[in-house]
Amino acid sequence: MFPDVFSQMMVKEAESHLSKFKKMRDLLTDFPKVKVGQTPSDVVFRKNKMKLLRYIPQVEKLRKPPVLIVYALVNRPYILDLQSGRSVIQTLVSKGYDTYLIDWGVPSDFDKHISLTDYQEKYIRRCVELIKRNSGCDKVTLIGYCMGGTMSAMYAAQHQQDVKNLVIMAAPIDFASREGLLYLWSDKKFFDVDKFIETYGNCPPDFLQWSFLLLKPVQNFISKYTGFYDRLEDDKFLENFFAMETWVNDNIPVAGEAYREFIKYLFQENRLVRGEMKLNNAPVKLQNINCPVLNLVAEKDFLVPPGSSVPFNDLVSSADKEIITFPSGHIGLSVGSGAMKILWPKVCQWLDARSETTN
Amino acid sequence: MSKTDSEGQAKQGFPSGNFEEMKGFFDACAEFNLKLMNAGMSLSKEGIEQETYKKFFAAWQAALAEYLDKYLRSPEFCEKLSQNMSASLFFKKNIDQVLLSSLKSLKLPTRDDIGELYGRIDAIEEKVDQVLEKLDKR
Repeated sequence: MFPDVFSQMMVKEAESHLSKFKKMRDLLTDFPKVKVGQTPSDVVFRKNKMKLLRYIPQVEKLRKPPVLIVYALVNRPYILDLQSGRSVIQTLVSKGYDTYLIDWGVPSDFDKHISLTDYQEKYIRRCVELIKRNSGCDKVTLIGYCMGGTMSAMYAAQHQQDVKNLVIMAAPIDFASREGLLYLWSDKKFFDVDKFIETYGNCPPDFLQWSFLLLKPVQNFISKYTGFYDRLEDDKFLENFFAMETWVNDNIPVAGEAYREFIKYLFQENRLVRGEMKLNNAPVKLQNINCPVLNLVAEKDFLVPPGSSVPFNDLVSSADKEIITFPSGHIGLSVGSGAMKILWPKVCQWLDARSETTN
Repeated sequence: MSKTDSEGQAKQGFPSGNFEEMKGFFDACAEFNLKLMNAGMSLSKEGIEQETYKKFFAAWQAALAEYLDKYLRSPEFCEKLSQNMSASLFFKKNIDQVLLSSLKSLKLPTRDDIGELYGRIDAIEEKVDQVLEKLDKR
């Protein structure tokens, strides 16, 4: 009797696992399309592949100055507007901020010559000019995420007259430490970035994707899928999982020259902190930044370790400066449920205190 | 076989650097196994429950993550990464050069030719942008 019951249980268990495995295989090989970046916007300016998006205001009285979000050159910017309820942009728009976002687009092989100076002077500066003209404000609030944070800081250092407030999120500033694996692998001893860009033209998206995945191999190749298997019946989890997968797998190349400069001058030579960085033939001095600064640091960030972002506040001259260290990872800062409930309301409070409401 | 030959063979089979590399690898494996054994021993009192398996699996993942992090930071890994990168760049560059000379011999436009044209269009666009900017400021 006992063996029969036992074998029946075993068969039942095996059948259940088999059907779960089939579902998992089907979902992962042809995963459902998830709608991302849903906050309504208009394209107000284009240059080459870049688009400047203005989010359609949802309240009558807008806050000034307008907010310009500068995203990184790697990956797509819709991580900041991933899903309803998990969207930094939606949060800002609903609070009355006139919000703009730079979507850098996908550089082609022929954009390999675009340098950091080009991105700053031909793209960001023109976007700022246009926003100033449209809004009637003489300054903007800059929010820069990751590499976009570094670019925003450099912009603010050279164009103080344009920046009312500066918010940087998980931005690599100090590259001296080799605590982060990316910092170690990019070391001059191991990575000849000149040869790499000379051969590839642009930095290929697969190269970046694999570098990021390899930072946490167990998490990215094992835990992610076992977690997925355990929660196959949880529809809300699946929706979030596929939204993230859509973004994670939607990689883009980085314009070769900008990538080369970023790796060589910043990762390898740490020029920004040493005061030796130059853009547009002029030095980039972080001490020139004197506007209010908010530095958002992700405590568990293994991509940009906190030690790389925190020193920023000591390098600027601003009297009004603050660091918020949040217990999340690099991406959690923009999509984590904790960040949405706790961090972003705090950021909005900080912005509110440094903005005004207009008709 | 002369002494020099046998030394040469030994060097070819087992480059001296590899012993150190292997030692590090075995030490890390031993540490990894010890962690797993400890995790297993502490769970053995619980009997064979699904939760026990999950805890053991979690301990395995944590130990593996720690081991891999050490390995990915090791000079050996970084050196290997660098060597592989150099080899793949060398290979790609050669392939590209072969393709380039083939296209040139067929009198077909190469990527560089198109790039040059694109560069000119880009320069014209930039000049138009500069003119527009000046007009806007007036």
